[in-house]
Amino acid sequence: MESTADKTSVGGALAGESAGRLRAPTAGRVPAHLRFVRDALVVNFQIGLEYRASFISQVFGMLANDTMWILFWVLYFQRFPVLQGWGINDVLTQWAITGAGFGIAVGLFGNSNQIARIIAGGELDYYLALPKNVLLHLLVSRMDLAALGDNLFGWGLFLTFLHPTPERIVLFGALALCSAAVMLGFLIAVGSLAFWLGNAEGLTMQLFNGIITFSTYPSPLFHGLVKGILFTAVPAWFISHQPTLLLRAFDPAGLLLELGMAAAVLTVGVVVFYRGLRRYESGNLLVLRA
Amino acid sequence: MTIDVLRARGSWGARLGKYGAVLRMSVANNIAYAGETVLRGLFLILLIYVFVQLWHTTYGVLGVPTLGGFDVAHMVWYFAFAEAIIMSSPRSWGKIDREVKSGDLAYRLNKPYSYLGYLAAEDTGERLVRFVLNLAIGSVICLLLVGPIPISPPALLTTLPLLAGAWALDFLGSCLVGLLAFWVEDTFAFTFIYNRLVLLLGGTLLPLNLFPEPIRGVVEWLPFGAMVYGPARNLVLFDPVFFGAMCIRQAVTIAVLLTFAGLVFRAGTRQVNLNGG
Repeated sequence: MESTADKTSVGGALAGESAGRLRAPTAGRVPAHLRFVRDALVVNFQIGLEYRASFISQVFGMLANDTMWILFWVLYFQRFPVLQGWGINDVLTQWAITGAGFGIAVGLFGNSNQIARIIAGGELDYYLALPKNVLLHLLVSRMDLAALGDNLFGWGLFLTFLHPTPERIVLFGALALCSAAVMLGFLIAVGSLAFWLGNAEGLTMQLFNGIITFSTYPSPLFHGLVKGILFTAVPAWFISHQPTLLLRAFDPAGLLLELGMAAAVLTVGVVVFYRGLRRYESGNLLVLRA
Repeated sequence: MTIDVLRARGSWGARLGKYGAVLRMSVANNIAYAGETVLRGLFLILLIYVFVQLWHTTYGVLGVPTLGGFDVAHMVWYFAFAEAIIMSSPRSWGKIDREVKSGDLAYRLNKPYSYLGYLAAEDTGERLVRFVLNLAIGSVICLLLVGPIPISPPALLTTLPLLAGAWALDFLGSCLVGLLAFWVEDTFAFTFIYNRLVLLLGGTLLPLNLFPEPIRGVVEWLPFGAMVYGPARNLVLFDPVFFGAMCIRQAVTIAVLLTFAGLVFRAGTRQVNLNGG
């Protein structure tokens, strides 16, 4: 009988069954990378299903959590109907897009918010020793089950309350991917600060909480310097605000800006990680991933 | 000396002294990690900033100086105090959940103290340090962003017992969630729901008297308001009648939850199987 412990690491689970295919050289092998990501996600999902009660509990816990926040905004807008042109539907859109994006960036790429801890703990050695793209392997080695609840919440909210015509569904899906790319790039970049700072776990957590907070409050609240920060250093604008504007009134230039920023932030994250990786020194830590 | 003498319970002073020692130990432990608490508290700066913007915009749009008795400054101070309470919660449910799952609970049960009493003392120590630090951070930010508000000595003095009552209620609520670990595989979902209920129905984000009817009538009867809204409102908008009513509400709710937690704990520990070795 196959034990669940045998399946708790992507590397461990995949190495035995398809090592040759998955250990293909990295450069220029996009299809191989995609297959690797697909296989890793499937295995992670299977791991989650092994602990079914926990899986369901985490997903529905997060769904309930997000729903409570929506209740706050429903209560708020019942009492004060319009906030400088921003209504309840706009806030629902922000939450839907943030949830869907978060579900991808943190749910599927479950180590994205653990990078600082992994670097500081010397656990990167494990990924360096294997012939896979280090960052990609690191990101897909874990799935955050609770964050999948966010994804479900985002899509559920959109499909139930936000006029899901076929065109809008496609646009929502594309914007959710852009939102996820921005989150992922940001998380990789701030997590990689651990290469320079050592223990950056607290800082990463604060910055991550910050970007999510800025993403889930109405745009009219932010002006001047803060708005400038949301466009650049903490790019929350492109996680939910810009997608909300696009779903409100489609604008090709706005979509191009969103796509461009998603690509740019993700690129910055990858560049920062590999720059930092040059500074990484093995702690000779023996990591057992069973 | 007979075995009965050894097993006899000490005086009330001696019994309370044990928990006092645990509380002091917990305070010392948490002071040692104060830096981490301060770092976590930085998130409070961001939250207060966002809420200052939210309320400034709301009051501006409505063109009114006060809402439910709160002007902008009072509203922001209310939020900072309420958030300090929320962010100081030590998540006792997590400790119980871990100890039940790992079996460490069995090790604790044969110690000469009440398990829940020990946790309460530990919880209070942690909460105390975190609350003082979070309140200090929140107060500095409020002073910078909206300036001071007048807080009378009676408001300050009467808020202390309400704060103690709020902590007791949150501890008991948190325990009840953690004790579910005796029966369910994962208490994660219950924890999330409990925390959000305290945040939303406790009145952290929106004072309960601003909730639209008929929801307001319902939430005022729930225990969550006594955990956050009660002490926070008492501090910024002191009213002796409100204080009296809140004291009674807290006392009744604590009595009910304490009884309930005791019963659940007894029922749960009956399921513990000890295997020597």
